[in-house]
Amino acid sequence: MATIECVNLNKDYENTKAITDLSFTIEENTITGLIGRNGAGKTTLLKIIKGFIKPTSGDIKVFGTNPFDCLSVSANSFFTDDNMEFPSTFNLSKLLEETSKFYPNWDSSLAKGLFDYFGLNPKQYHGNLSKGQNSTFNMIVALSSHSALTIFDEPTSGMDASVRKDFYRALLKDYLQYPRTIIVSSHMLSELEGILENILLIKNGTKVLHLPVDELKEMAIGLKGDISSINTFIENKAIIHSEKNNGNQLLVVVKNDFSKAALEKAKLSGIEILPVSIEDLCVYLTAKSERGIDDVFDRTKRI
Amino acid sequence: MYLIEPSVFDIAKKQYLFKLKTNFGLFFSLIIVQMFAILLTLSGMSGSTSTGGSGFDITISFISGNIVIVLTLIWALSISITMTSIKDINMDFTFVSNRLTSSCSNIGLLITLSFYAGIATALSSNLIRILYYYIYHSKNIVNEGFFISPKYILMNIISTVLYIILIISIGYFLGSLFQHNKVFIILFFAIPFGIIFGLKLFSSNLNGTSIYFLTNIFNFYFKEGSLIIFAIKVLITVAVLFSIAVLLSKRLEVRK
Amino acid sequence: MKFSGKLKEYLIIAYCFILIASTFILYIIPKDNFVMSKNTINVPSSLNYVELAIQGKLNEANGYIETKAWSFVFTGERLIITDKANNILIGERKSIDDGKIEVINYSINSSYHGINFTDIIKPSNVTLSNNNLFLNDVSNPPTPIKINQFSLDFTLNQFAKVNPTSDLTDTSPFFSMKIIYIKIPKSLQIDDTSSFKSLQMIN
Repeated sequence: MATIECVNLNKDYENTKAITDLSFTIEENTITGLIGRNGAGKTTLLKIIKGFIKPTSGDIKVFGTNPFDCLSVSANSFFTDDNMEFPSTFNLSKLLEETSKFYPNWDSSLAKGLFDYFGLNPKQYHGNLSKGQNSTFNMIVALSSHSALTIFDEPTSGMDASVRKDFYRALLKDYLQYPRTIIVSSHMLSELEGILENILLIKNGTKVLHLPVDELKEMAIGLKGDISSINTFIENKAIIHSEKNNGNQLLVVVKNDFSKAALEKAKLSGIEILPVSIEDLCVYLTAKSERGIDDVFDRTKRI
Repeated sequence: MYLIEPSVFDIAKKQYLFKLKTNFGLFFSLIIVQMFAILLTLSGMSGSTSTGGSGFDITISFISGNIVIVLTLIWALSISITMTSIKDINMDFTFVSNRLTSSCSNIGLLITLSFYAGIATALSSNLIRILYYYIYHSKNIVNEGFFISPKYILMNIISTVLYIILIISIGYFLGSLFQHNKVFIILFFAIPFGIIFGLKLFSSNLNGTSIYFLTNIFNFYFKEGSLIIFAIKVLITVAVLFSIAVLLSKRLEVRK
Repeated sequence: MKFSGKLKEYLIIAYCFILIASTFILYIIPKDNFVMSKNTINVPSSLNYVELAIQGKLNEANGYIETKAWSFVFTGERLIITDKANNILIGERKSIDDGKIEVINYSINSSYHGINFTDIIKPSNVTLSNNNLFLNDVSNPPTPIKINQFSLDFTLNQFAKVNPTSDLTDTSPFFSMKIIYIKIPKSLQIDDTSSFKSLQMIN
């Protein structure tokens, strides 16, 4: 059974449509990255999956049932973001103790190990934590719950680089030891792609793609050269992204369905072949408009 | 992977025990309210009567635990309304919860607090009597009304607990109503003004029926002389109000 | 005021302990030495003191308490009674001329707001000078008496079959009044003054 099945999901608010006709399936025991720009609808989607909010229309099934107000979905999933409300009367160690009572699969040795490793103070209160410590603590709770579906919404906000690295490593190691379905939504795709299996890319509330990371790595290719050679080579292929550099140098990103021979020919005609990182690819695919930031500066120069 | 199958009762119980610990401050706030009320009572705010003539000057002060009861009821109303706040509900959803378990554990906590507050209130009347006894001495205290038999103390406890549960159910119901639809807040305050305004505009016929209706509701509870029937009235009212509140919460979106 | 968690806990426990303790103490306090209500005395309700005086039944059983008595030697023929205290005056003409005027001050069992206050009614001052029997009340400023009366909480009052303070509302009709009983020699004449007008002779 797929963990999450989503068909034609819609979520409307007063002035905006947060999610439009979204359909996808997330299989059991996978790590999926939910990627998209700010306001693309990632958090809305995750909250619908967790059962916090209701869709306007469409069908969503988590563990085979509608997640809204569903106790079994709640008991088998965990959602963490930087707005987690913890009671202010408990210090951190008491919080871990009380949280464990709700999760029969709670791994207390993991919780204690991570807690001590990251240097958190057991006597401190959640309200007094810095942003980074807050994210760290929330992450520890989410991992230790060993919930069948664990959702991380921007889990690394405020964390410094070394803590982030440790988090990804911890996430991966625990996932391998104790497989479950994990969704991570984040901006830091370049750091994250090492542990993700699949990526679900969202733009303006709709699905752009839902593919394994390996496929995405090979999906696009960058071609750099003078304008005429580029244009000849790509003919009328769909351009994912284009960039003008000084004078008549053009960089385009297109789908990589060229044969090896074609690419050799391109190299000979002076076109440089560049790999496209997944992060860049996702940025291009979710671009808000045709123009790039450079165009803003060009225009002002002309004026 | 093996999926956990939780029962509503099990989760509600866990949440209830959890909330008993996190809302410890409420148990404390009652004490503060009652100490303040007792101080007010000792200062002799309640009525008195006096007379004088040649050779004498008498003042009789009337004391009862009513100030403590009223302030406790106000405390009960305020905690039950605030318990429906979205911040508290969101905290339930940090952990395992659905809206039913969230409401049930809230109601469990409120009823526990009702018993706690009801017993404390009823016994505070005894405390006030003892304080008067030691401060003002028995020669200045009237015998009648000072001593309360154990049977009456028990009756007072039951009655006060029932009143507090009634108030708490009203507060929780109102809070849920407001959460569900903010329009109700406006309605709640507008309707009494509307009635008063309407009464002033129209003839006294309307006057009679509206006020008759309101005093009838009031008397339904306050003038009931049998403790058992009063208990039945209160428990039915409370069950209805809590049920509506639970139903209202079922469609609430959280963690927005 | 910031209270620590432990302090709050102790306060709660202390308060609960005090509440339970006061309930026990209330139970074991001796019930005497309190202010008594009118229910413990016989308060006369009707104005039949003259009849009772005629029958010689102006006594404690009927609610009239002798608080002070005077005996004056008087051999004059006429007496002027001046009562500045507005008491009830009852006169009895003795069967003999023994040259003595006896005056008895009676307090009437009375209640104010249901509380027995008979004891605080001070007897009038009675003096005889020349032929003037002068009655007045003491004019020292009285010491204020403050009484505390407990009523049941409304939550209990609603259901209590017996409310101990429900009948403590009335003030007796004779509250603070006294009866001055004057026994005069057989032939003594009393002048027609305003006080004379209010004097009721029983014989």
